[in-house]
Amino acid sequence: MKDLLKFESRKLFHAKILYICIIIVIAVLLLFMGVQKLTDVLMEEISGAESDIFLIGTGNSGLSWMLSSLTPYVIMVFGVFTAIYVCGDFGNGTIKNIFSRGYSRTEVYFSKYFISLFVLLGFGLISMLIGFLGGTLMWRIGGGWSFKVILLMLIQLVGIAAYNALFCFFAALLKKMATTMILAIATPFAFSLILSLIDLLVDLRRVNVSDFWISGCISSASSVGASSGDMIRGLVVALVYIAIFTVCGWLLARKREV
Amino acid sequence: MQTILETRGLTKKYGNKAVVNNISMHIDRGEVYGFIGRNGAGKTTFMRLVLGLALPDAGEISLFGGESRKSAGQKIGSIVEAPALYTNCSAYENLKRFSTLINYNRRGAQKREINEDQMIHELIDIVGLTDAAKKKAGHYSLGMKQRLGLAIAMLGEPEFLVLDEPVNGLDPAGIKEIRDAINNLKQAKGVTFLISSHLLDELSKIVTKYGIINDGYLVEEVRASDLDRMSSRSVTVVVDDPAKAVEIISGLVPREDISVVEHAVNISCHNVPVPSAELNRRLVSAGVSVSALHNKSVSVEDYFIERMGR
Repeated sequence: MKDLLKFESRKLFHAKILYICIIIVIAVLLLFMGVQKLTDVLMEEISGAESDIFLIGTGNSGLSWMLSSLTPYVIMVFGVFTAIYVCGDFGNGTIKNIFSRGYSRTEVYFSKYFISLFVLLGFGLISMLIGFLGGTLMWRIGGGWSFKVILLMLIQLVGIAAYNALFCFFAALLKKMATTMILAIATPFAFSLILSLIDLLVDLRRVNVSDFWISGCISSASSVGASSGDMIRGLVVALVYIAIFTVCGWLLARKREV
Repeated sequence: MQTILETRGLTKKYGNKAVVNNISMHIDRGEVYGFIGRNGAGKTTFMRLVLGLALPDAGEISLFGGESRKSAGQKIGSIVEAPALYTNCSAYENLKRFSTLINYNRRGAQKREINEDQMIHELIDIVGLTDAAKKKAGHYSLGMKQRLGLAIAMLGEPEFLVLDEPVNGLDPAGIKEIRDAINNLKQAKGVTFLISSHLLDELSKIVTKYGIINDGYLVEEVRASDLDRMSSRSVTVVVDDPAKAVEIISGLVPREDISVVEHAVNISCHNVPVPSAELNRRLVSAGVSVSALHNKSVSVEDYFIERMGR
């Protein structure tokens, strides 16, 4: 496993896709913040500096952007990276050189899984950092800093780990880079949309189905005002998804032929 | 002699069709085993099973006398189907990357002292890619890719090389280089090979044992030395009295190897060499007039085509 991780790490740092994804994540966040800032400025011009409408925009800060930086668009980039990275060796046949050297399918699956996890967590931290820096520069640093912020960030990182498990499961299921990428892009959007629709159509009063999808886990920890109940729910749901998708992906990978 | 590969009843099915059917094979250390069969006969699937790329439906594979796949895999190099390369990387980077998969500690203490970079440059030299070592593999010709694939297979000084069509796409000079490299590895380091190729004449220059596969079955295994003896002789004698000639020739070769077409008596013998001089002497002594005697050499290729059912 150690040799495989070394192999994957060397491959990772030579992969252009890593740097392209980092640039895209930063660009997407800066674009969102830029649009928000522009909206604020326009609102200010239209309605005057002391109006109520302007005050709505003042919710923006380094802290708020840091905690809400994991937008679906950013998650989409994560999915693209994992699809390309995990399926790459299968697509160009280089996986043959790995299996034939005596490495088991379990070792290969988990080496890719862990490297992908490492990268996605890195992407997540970069997103948060950019959110914080951009938000602070464009608005203000924001109040409400406490140990809770660290907990919220950790829950979001666990949410990212759940997405990683999902994307790796897709890679093990579909084996092809293009189809894995499509599914990795579509699923976070589609599930959020479908579950939100269910919430709208079926009034369960005390429960929102969408809170039990991975995006719900992350959004439950995207505000300093999150209740401890929401935080615990987000954490537990994310951990359950990690367990389910990791085990399913591993079971599929174990029987994989190349 | 240590057994490098032993399979017992190895079977692989795709759907209802057995692509590899109950194959039991045995390869000893130092052998160069030539695997021959038509396209789709099951050669590549068999190799994929041996390398752990495909999973068998039945049967067993034993490598290096029963070592675990993890340990055995470290001693095996391979090219199966097309060479597997990172096309956006140079030859050096490809080799450097795959060399991280070699666990020298698992191979024994003496391997630890090998300088990895030195080994990579040596391999690049051996396969003749010195001038193109920094060029991206995606820009290589098919032959160059094949050579790089061979260099990757040779990483870590493997004791067993599994090569599926290793000279595909190579020019005559390249084919000779690969053949020489195989001979060198065999003689200097005692490397064992399992090689498939359609270039039977090329194969016949290096192989010590042949395995003929047809429709998933291992039809026959034959030593190269036996094959040389068996496949080389066929004699046609044109005589005035074919019946009498057949009677005399039957004393020298089995009757089933003799056939008659008008005045021509054909002796196609796979089991014993035909002593043509002795044959002529006996016929003449018995009063049979011999107007012509042709020694024909049956090529390795003809022998295999016959065995493969074509």
